[in-house]
Amino acid sequence: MSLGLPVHLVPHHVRRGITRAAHVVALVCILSGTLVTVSLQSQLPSRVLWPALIAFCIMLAALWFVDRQPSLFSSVLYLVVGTLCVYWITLIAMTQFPGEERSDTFVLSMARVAVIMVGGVGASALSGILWSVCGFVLAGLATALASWQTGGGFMFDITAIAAIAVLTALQIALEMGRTARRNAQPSLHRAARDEQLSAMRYRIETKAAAVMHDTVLNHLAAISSSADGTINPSLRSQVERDLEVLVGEEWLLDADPGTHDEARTEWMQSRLYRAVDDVRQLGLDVQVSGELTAVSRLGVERSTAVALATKQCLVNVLKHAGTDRAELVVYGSEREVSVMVIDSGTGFSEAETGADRLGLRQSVRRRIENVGGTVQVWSTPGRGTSVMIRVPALEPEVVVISRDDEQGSDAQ
Amino acid sequence: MSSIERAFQQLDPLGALTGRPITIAAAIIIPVFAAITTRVSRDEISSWPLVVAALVAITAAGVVLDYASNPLRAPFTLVMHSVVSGLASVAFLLSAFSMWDTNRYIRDDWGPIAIGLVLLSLSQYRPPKEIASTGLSLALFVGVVALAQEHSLVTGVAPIDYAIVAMTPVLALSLASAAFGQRLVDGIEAWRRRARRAATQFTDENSGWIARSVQQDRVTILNQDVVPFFADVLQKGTIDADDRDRARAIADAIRAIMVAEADRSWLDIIVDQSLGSTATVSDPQRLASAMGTDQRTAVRAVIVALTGHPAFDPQRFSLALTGHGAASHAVLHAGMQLSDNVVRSEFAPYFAVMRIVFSELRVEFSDSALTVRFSYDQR
Repeated sequence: MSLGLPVHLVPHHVRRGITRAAHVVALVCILSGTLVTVSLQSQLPSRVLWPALIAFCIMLAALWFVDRQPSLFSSVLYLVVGTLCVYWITLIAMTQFPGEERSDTFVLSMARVAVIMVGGVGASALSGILWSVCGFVLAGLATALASWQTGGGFMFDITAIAAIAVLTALQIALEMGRTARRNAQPSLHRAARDEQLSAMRYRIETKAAAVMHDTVLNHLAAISSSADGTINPSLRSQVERDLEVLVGEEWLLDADPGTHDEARTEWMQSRLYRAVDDVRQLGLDVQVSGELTAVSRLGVERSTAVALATKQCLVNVLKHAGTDRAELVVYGSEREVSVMVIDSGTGFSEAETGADRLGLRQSVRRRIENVGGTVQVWSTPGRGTSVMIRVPALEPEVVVISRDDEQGSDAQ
Repeated sequence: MSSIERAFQQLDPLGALTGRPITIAAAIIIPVFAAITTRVSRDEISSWPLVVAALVAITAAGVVLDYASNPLRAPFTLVMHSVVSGLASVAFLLSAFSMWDTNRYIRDDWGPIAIGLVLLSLSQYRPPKEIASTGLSLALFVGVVALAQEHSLVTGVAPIDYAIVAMTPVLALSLASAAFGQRLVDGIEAWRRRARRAATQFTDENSGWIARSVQQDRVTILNQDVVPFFADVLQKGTIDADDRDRARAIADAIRAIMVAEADRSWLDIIVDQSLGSTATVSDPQRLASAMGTDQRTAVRAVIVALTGHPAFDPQRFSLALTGHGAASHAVLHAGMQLSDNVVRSEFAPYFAVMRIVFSELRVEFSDSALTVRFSYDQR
């Protein structure tokens, strides 16, 4: 879906984004200040600048803490530690460069900007602005105090003012821009839900049409081509049985695993279900039908092979077929279990697939053949692809042992 | 839409609208900032033509930024990213050349900050990794240019310090931009994972009543003719010419209903639900079925929004789909008794989403008639 975050989640994510961005700016500032201090110390070994490096290291640790554990405590701690470090760095600069150092030099600016970029806690733009203003004021006071104590000149720091201006403007603008999302997003989400229902209804109608075709229309055709006289007993029994089912039973629900709790649970615990769920998370709409509980008649090894092979088929649909929908049908007989993956995508010719398309050969065909199964592929360029995976089912007594996939692997 | 990049705008077109005012502000503020800084440090300038060229380049970067970030031109492409970053870099270089032997302080140069602000403005439009790598490359470039200016700088520190000072704004702002974008992308992806699970649950919860509703429709059809006919035949136990004729007639009627239902696309159903039978969809090639889920959602939302608006004129609605080769083109006309600006602003969020999910989108409004043209690939 391209509908994005719901309105109520936006402030939280935007604030987290701004906080992370502010911390990255603080990190770059601290590292730049550190590097320039190291460089100056190496150029001027007679001056004692290295204590400033301790302050930068402490700021770095405080920044790591506030970024990892964002809370009121860590934010206040960062402000306090940052302010003390700014004071300390300013004091060192003023005493080591008496009469030359100004309070707005690069290294001092970097330390102050790092304090402004506290981030803070709270979901509103206002809280973010207040935290950065606190940092700005505290860092400014620390600089002014150190300058005053050492008799150095205090200058307003354009860099720090620009930093707080950009941060504040960013937060105000993001807050203002949310109106458009507020108006349109509910209707887009409603449309997405309606689309989901519509697609589901379409699938069920298609199934209903197929059933009607296979039953009622076939019987009508049989009657219209019958000769005068007694109705064929076979036709009679078929008509009776189908009428009973069509009018009296929930025939559209029968294939749906959701109607039988036990069957549904069994299916949802299978490896194949997990494989399908994994691919659904990647964005493929997989419609599942058929005798889903048949997969429980496979042992651990075969059910794993079928799940992984099916997953590869579904991933292939997503990657190569140019469609976001696929159908998975499970058939079961006494002797074997079949899984069919069908898509109406671009299709391909297996013989012509390149060396990079090893998925079908290795992950599907070889894997299934290794557990005694077979794979058949029908594909026509432009018409879609169907892959049929057939694997022998276990003998009934073995089924009991390996019914539970999770425990079965341990048991074996 | 070829493929979705991991950029905030493409994952959340509505969210990118939120950041649009910032982009417009940045497009204006960056050249103004450059002009003011130039004025303040005018005594360091040795070539005014180069200064003018630099200001023109950074203004052009702002214009391209504004143009490419317009939701109706979404998505913001890699090419546009390269153009904007390239113009900002050229502006920086021209500015550096304009003070080549006379630049005294790196810190008061506007070039590195302008590059950083441009990259910060891209946070919602381009993938975070791309912004970070551009930032790192341009920081290196800015550092090298700063090193080359060492001969005129008066601070008296090591050349590496000039490079660090010049690189810091580019690195800080570009990496902050990438970090902001990454947080948003991570947030959306986490929400999508939850939403997909909810959608599966929603499907499970609703499939029962939909199946019963569809079955009821079918049973109603069967009860009209089929059940009485079969009951009659089974009771008699024989078949004659009348039965054969009746069987054929019933089969034809059922087949006609099934064909009509099969011919009715999801788009027909939406338009029918929104407008009744007053409007129809022209889709002789059945191209509506080739739209993907996101595309259907966007079209559904825009039709519902348009037809539900008080200024909508139901008599002037039409929707036609035509195919040319592998591409499908749709033209939607809707009469709206509103001004151009109101229509564009009220429906901007829908168009922003459509612009992302369709390969082409054109919106026109004249004589109280809105025309939306969009294209998509037949899959």
